Amino acid sequence: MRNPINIRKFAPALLALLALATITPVLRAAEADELKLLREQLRALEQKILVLERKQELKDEAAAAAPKPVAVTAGAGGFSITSADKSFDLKLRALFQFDARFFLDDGAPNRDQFLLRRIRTPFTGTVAGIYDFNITPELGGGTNSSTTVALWDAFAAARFSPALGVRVGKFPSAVGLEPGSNRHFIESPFVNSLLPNRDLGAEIFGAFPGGYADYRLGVFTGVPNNTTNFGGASPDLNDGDKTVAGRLTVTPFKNLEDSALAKLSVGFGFSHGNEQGVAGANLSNGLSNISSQAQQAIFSYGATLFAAGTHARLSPSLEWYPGTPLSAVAEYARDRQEISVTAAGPVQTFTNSAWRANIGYVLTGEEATKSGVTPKQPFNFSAGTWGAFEIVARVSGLELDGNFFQPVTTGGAGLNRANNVESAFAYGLGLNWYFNRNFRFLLNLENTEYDGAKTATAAVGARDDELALITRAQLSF
Amino acid sequence: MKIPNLLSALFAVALASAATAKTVELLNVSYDPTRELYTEFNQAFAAHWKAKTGDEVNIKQSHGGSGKQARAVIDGLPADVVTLALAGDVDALHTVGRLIPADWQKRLPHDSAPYTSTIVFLVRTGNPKGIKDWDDLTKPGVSVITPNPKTSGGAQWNYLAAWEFARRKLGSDEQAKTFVRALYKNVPVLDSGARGSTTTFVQRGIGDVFISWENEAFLALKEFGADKFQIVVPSLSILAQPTVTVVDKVVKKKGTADVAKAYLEYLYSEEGQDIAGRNFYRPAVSEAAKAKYAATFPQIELFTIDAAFGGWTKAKQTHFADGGTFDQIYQN
Repeated sequence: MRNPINIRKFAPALLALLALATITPVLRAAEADELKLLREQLRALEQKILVLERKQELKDEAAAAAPKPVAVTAGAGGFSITSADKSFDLKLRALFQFDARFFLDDGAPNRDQFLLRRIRTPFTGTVAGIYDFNITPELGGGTNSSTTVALWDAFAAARFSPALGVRVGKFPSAVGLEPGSNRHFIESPFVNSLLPNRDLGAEIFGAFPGGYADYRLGVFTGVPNNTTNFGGASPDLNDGDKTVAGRLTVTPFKNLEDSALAKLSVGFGFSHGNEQGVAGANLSNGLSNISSQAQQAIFSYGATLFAAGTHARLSPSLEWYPGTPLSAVAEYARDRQEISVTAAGPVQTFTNSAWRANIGYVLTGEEATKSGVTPKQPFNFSAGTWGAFEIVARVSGLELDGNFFQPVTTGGAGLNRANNVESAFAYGLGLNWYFNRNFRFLLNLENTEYDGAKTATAAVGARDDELALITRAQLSF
Repeated sequence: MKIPNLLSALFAVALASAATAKTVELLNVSYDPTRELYTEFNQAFAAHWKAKTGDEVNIKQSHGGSGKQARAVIDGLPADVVTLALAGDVDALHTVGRLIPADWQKRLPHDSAPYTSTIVFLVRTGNPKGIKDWDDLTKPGVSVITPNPKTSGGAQWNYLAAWEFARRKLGSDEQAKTFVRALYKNVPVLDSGARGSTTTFVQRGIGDVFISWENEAFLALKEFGADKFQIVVPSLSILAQPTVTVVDKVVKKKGTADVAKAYLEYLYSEEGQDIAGRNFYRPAVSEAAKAKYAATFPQIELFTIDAAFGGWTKAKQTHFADGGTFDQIYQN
């Protein structure tokens, strides 16, 4: 007889199977519910993320579409207000120069002085994108009494394209390299004595395609040398025909990007016009007396000479700011003018010339630029940083027409050699201390040797060698 | 004819042509969903104007939330014409900007509304949340997409349609307010215009239902596929009457009055009405166009803003002005 199945033996397993069979659908249903719940939670979470992303997207769109605020800034470049699209921009800047001059060992006393050399508050800007203006008052510049007020620059310009702009008003002449803005030394070189400073007129300007050359060409009132006004009661009536003036500046090695010559620029300025003065005071006569580089009178046209015809100037120049601590500038000026030597004539032609060569080197290693040096470490006494130092040197010369001193009867102007120099040669050194972009202290020591005026008195001028120590504290922004 | 004479004659002809033919530029400031409509209409009008006068007309379009666009024009956007979502926004050009006369709406047929539309629901295919009518939008867990009534004309139509539905169903303005508050609790994001809300719903995948201009809903089906979305027509909706006008002060200054007027009048032409229908707007005046597109548009019981809310001026003051019902329900 076969053994019967032992129910008891398998009972637990059967019960377990039964339980499993019963529970499994329940578990599966629970799992499905849980899965469904998880899916819903996942979807809800996904929606939350999508909503957050969309809200951020809308926020970004609103920010991008919102009108940009007008920018009001104050910094090393001055104070400015700029519209959101930058088409309107107003800048208020200032230039303050305080000089001290000391004349050493030249036998002429009582000429040392402190003076406010330039106090200017340029108000410049751009309107409607391409129209620029510059209104620069001069408050007491060049005096030690600070009582003179003048309008130094006042011009408007339109930049139609890089190749063509138009400027009208009173602005720095294109003939000279840097009227009123001497890069290395405190005072202008003799070259500036033979070239116009500012003039009233209109000019076109722009750059030729490729950027190798730019030009300025205009028609002007025609001012005497080294001045900004013709002088006299009615300059427009007195100054004769208009003067054509311009400058072409070429950067021939511009494409040699890695070469130091890439930033070498060669310029050529000129002017040609008819100038008519009246016998009498300086400037009204259409002529401008000449000063030394230390601003002492060395040549006077006197009361009888006056401009009476063609006045032409030529001025080639060279500038080199290679992007290193080194910088160099050279310039030559030739000035030819018809002058009536007495009220009744005759009219004689006189030719003067001047030249200069400057060189600078920044001892602290910063790049020398046309506008100066920006110290890597601005002056900070407590931090032990001292700004930037640059040494500079200049040689310059002036050669006046010898006929000025010949008798009128032999074709000269009859000026007195005893009171006027005939030529000058100057050489000097300087140390420029740049505290930061806005403040600098300059020190120049320059000696000038003269020919002529051998019998000068102390009151008239530096006929002996002129050794001058000039210092300047300058704040600009 | 000698060559120099021939050249002179050619030159004279060229000069005469240049002197007579001219190019006119118009700016149409419109609301969000009309981009496609006016892209097509502008081409048609330019051809029409060229054939009629010989002049070229170059029409620029600007689109955005209707209220926002009206403010831009009031603030100086030099619109020759405005084609906005609602008369209330156009009216602001008179009441606030003094750019158009008070009777501007009487200058063109059909109260200056050359086409109409209404508000429907766009849901995802299969309608997973079972949306059938306005009261489904207030249920917990239903995510509703609609633009901001403060900036969007379409959103104001949406808001008022929901309000009137609730008022009729529940019996009072107070209950309608509670209803609309519940609806806006389900709105996760407020776009500034209808096109932005379309982007939110259709392209970003947010929400279960989009309260949409009818034309915008049809456009979504056309562009993104009927397999992805479907239109649900509520039991009650509002007759939306986008209105148009010449901006008198601008056209006077620009010397474009004639062409601007002709531009809007052309919306009422057979071609203009046909273009409206083709772009899912209900033609307002042309019987031929109405018949042609009758099958496109579902039958809905529509109420008017004047009948339900006493006109746009009152509706705006009550609901959308600062401190109005929308501010009350959305801030609370």
